[in-house]
Amino acid sequence: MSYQAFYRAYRPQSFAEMSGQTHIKQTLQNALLYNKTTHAYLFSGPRGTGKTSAAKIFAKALNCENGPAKEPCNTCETCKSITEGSNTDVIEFDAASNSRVEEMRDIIEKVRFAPSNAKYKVYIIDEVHMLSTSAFNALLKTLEEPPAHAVFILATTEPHKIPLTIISRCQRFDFKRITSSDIVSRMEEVLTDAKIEYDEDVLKIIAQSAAGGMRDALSMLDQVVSFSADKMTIEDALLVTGSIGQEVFFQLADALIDKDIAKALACIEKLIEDGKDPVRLTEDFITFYRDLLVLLVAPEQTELLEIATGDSMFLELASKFQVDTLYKGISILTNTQQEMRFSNHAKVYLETAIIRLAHVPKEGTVSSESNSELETKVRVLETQLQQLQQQLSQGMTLQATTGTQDQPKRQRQKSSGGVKVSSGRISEILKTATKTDIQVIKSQWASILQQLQKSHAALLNDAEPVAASSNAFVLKFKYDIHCQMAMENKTFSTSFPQLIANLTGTMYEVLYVPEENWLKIREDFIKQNGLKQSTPETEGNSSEPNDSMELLQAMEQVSEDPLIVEAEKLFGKEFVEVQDN
Amino acid sequence: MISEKWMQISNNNISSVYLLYGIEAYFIEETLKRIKRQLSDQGELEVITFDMEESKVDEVMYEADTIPFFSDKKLVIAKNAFFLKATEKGKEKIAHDTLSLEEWLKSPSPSAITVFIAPYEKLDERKKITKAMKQAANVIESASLQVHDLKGWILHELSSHGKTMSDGAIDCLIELGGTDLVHLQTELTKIATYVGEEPEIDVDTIKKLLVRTLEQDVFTLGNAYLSGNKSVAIEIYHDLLKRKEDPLKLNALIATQVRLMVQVSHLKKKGYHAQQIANQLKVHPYRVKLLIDHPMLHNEQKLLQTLNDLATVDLQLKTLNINRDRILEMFLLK
Repeated sequence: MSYQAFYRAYRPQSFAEMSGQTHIKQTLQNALLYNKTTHAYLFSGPRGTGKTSAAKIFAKALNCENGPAKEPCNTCETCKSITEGSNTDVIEFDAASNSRVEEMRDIIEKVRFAPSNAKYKVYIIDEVHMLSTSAFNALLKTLEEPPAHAVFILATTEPHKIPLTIISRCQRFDFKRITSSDIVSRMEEVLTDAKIEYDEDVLKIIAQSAAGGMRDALSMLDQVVSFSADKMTIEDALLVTGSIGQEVFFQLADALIDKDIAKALACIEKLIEDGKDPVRLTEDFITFYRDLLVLLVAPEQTELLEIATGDSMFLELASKFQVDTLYKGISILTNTQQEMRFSNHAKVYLETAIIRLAHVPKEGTVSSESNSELETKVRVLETQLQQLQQQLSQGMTLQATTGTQDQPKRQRQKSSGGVKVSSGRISEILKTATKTDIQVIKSQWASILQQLQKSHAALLNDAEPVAASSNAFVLKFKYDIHCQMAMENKTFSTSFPQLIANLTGTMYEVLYVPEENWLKIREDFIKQNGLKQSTPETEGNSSEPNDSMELLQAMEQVSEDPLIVEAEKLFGKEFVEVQDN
Repeated sequence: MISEKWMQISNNNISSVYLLYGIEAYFIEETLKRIKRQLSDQGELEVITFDMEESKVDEVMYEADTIPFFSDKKLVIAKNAFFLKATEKGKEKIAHDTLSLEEWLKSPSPSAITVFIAPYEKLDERKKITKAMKQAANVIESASLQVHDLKGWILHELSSHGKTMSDGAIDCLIELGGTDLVHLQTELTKIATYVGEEPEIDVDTIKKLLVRTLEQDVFTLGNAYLSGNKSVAIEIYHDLLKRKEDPLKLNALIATQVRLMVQVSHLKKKGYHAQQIANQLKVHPYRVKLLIDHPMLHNEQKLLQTLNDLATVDLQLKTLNINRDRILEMFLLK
């Protein structure tokens, strides 16, 4: 007798032999027992999870001469013939190679005929998603009104490719991945039966790389058994399953963590000497990093690991990494992979990538250092800002306390007008304002206006400089709206001081204020300073503030005494001289 | 309303022309089943089915007009009566002679029961043929059930299997199984078979046996991700990959869910009720019901951020030439 592969020789012949899928087994068995079978089933799930096996067992149990029972007897003629595949009433149909309508019709035509030597005609349609649209329609017609003696079992790995109309006619079962422990125990059964010595660790490695597929596991086991002479070893298993990298990648990652670039490069060199392709190596290394990430983030998902395992060795390695480092590593490797495609020197790219990987954590620390530098700077700036704010608010409160009751009213006007007047700053300027300074500006005012853009000059039509210190001056607007426009016009607010600087040689800071607010600020300022003057302790009573005080008082009188205003109207400002007696 | 019509049928008060329309396939099937049962009680059943996307309506009329051989009445079914809904001119697969159908509807064949099935949400009421049909036929609308009616239906369906289910289990069933009645019916039959003699069906059984829909899986996946449960998120993700779902598609589905959450969150802030939100967004009320108390709704910022990240993933999936499964996985692990 010719050699039969494990997965064929040990295909389960009863529900009890099937690994996993307990809920499916129980449902099918109950259906058999209580005679509640329906005419169409859909088995979906990843490969090697027992779909076709379940379909065959079910077909047998349905038709078993000793039925109805939970299990096929496997001894009667019908069971035997189904196992052999010679029963004419159990039709196995591979949709992948018979996907056309004609082939489908051939079978469907015979559905109407009663079964020849069994109770049911069972149609097992494997890989049903491969059917063409018209073949599906042909099948659908039959599924809609099947004869009582027909049972359809559709098996597929890709249920979403099946038309919904078909799915809704079927009782559907989702086959889940078989757990590693189930796979291991099934392999143990197989090996005990075949009288082959085994090592549990080897089986674990195989189960791991089978990723829930029993057929994969068994065929790998087959390879390992025939590969190893008498006793299977872990090395054999690793070689067969292709998970050779595990150890090497562990060393590589370990070297990278220790920043031992020489060792890491030696690792790579050795791998390439062994004939590994650098591109493939990069891919594997990404996978390894990803595994470490999975271990860090979701340690219980060991089934999803591809190269590494859930061993403490890898857990320890993973814990040495930071999630961020792994991300950076993966993105470096991904980029390298992209670059490799356009180059003949894949190895060089891989090596540079390795060096960069070694630097990743270092970069992290460097950046954190510079971060701390930045942080201190920010802290310093913050304290400064706080101080300034304090000063400002003090200034404000000073004003608020000295200001009269109509203060809130002014604020409301301010906010409604939308003009933000930095009154604090203005009074600051007023403190240092001098007559000479304002004269300088005033003397240039006409030429300033001339040199300005027409639209800008228009803004300043009703404006005049009212107070100036050595490096700033206050520009008073007659109307709120002009003031606001001037403040908001970026080109103006930048070009205007520049122009003045050109003419006067000093870069003045310009403060815009509407007339109304100006009067208030000035009044407040005078009161405040008046108070200060009366108390000798007040600081900075130098000549300058006094100057400004005089100036201000003079101006106040000029503009506020109704008599004088009237006089100015009559004769013009230039000709009115006020003498305070 | 539909039960009244069913009563009529079982009382042998069968109209000669029926129009079944609506998206809930279950009611259409059930109605057909009842008519068939009623007819087969009276003698041999003669059923002829036409697909209106393949054969002309003339054939239906011709078939209905010919006298049945073995029984008093025969059943003529016209599936996919797309000429009743709004269609683009020239895109119809077959040109039906609706004028003669209108004429025919005025005096339908007495020896046949003709059933027109229009599995569409809305019919084009402006069409002459639709008006004529609505006038001549016994119209049965098959609309999807509201959440409350759905529970009643499930309980009713369960009792026919001799089983019961707790309220929580019903919620779980709807949550995982969706709201499609045909699907729920087959699932219930399956679960009833699984439990065998046991009268009670519990949540665990449902979770074990129910075939999860893709939308449902993505919903759980999205929730797991948003609540920071990365382990569950990647587990579901890999299950979906095993089913050969494309990462790009999954990405889009997750985005749809997050987007719906943003929308619900916004409307909820405006004071909309769950039902109003469902109407406004044109989604199934149950989906809104699930989301309306979702803790993430308060964190609109995070939702928007997630949506943004998903857009980046989408771009990467389309541009980067690396292992496609990895890209979305990296996002989920982040």
